[in-house]
Amino acid sequence: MVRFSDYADKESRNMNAIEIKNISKTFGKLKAVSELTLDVPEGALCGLIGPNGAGKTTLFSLLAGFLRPSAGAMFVRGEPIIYGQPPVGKIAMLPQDATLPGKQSARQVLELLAKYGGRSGDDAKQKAKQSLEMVGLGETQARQKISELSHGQRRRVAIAQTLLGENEIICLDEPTAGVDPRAAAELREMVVKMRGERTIIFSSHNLLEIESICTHVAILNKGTLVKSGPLDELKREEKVVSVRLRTPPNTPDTLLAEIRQLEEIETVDWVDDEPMVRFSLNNQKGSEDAVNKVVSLIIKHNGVLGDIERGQSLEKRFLAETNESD
Amino acid sequence: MFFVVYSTMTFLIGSSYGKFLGFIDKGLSDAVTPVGSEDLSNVDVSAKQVFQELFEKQPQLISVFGGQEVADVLTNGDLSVLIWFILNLSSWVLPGLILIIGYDRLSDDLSSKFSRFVFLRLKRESYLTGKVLAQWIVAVIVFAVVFLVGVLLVSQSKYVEIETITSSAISIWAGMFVYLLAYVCLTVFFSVNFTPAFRSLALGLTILMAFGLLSIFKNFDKFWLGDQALPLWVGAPSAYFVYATHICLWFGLAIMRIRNREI
Repeated sequence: MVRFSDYADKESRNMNAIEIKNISKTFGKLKAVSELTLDVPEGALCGLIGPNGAGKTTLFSLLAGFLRPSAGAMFVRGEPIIYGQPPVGKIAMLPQDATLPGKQSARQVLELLAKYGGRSGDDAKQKAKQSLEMVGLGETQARQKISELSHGQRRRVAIAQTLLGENEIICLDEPTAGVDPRAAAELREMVVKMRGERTIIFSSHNLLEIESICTHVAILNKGTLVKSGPLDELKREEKVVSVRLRTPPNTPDTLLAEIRQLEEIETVDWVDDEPMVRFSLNNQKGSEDAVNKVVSLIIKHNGVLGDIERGQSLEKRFLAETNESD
Repeated sequence: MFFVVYSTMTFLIGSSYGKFLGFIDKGLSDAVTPVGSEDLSNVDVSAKQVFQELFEKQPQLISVFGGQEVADVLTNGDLSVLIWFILNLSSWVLPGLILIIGYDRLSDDLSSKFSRFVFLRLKRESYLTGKVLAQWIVAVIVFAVVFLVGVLLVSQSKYVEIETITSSAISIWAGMFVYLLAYVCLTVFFSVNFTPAFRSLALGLTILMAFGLLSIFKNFDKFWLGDQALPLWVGAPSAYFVYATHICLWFGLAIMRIRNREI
């Protein structure tokens, strides 16, 4: 049972753009989303990632009021999201598998949706035109029937409908899925243009895409949130350190053996191709000391230091996080 | 598309009226001895007499003609037998036609998930009410055209007095608004409950036929829409009550369903 009174004290909460508090959704015995808590700050472009069935689309549907939460509550700029109530002025969404009526033109559909959103005739026309221009669709495509447009163009029209409102938080559920690389790049460019001006949640299976455009990331697995935060912090938080060497040490095996003996070190590998020493720490605390100790050992073994890189790509982080919780 | 279907329907219905017209009126003229076959202007008077005799001798036929209220207007001469025939035929045809024009109104939007775009902006109840009103208006306009064309066709017959037709028109059309609304609500109920669209059509038609068949059972006919259609068109209050109940029931259930349906 959702009780907003449990979360009603606005002052006790940070006023983020989106606040999701212990939200759960079950379908029969299946827990699609389980006690998920997530805050998305104002102006963030938050990437939502997770394997298939992680609960991303369910979370979007809960935010839009399409699904009734089994427990928990959600707030948009402090206002609760209520199941069945249209979140006009709060949330604009590109649902993953919803289709637009093929017999109508892109402009007609957008005008209709703008009117449903409360705009009057002329205003709706103007806004529909503006939105289509923003997604790069010209007059010709605007007049075409939806069924005559390419998949990428239809996707743009669907994204254009998220721009019909004012200052709404935009949720894009896999906007680049099934879209050719050029169109995907253009869609990403479009999203990047809105970064900072609008709060956006963007789900994708393309982690490079998320890494290249998002400011924040939330990783879901099996309906739970396994990690979230600013992308940079998340990558920095990584316990893996890679030390590239301009000149390898005389005896890499001896060097590795000595590094392994350090108490802060969990694992260590020698990457011959680079050459590179990659090690992971037991704990992030005191990581600077540990890195200094490793560097000293490398110098001792006549290695010449190159770059020191902390963390891993989002992809590796994602794999690690989703494997750990399996 | 709709108009092509309905024009064809009108033509077919009109033709069948024409043929049936001669058949009925010939039968009426032969049956009523005081009126000569050449005295065709008094055919409604003849009909009145036939119905009086018929219902006196065979009271069980009253229910066949649509109940006591319908029998009364027929024996009073307030309803032309040909209009009765048109209405009787319409009561079999219209529910299916209303279902055919409206079965996909919501089920298409729900199965294609276009409703997601809509429900981000509109209250579900408002959307459903809009769909009901839109379909009702379409049904009223289309069936008004069909009905008027049908009436025009039969009024060309020398057996029919136009005054009898026009005098019953108000009662018939008051009933027709309610009649169409009830079936539109029923159609929307099917449309919101069953997806994809063809399932709502198939189930809707099956259920309509099943209820039609159930009407042969005594007392069931007092509660089902189909059997109350003729009394409704002649302004029977009990029929209005049955139709109002059905409108509230199906519309209410449709609203409840759309509210609770996770999309």
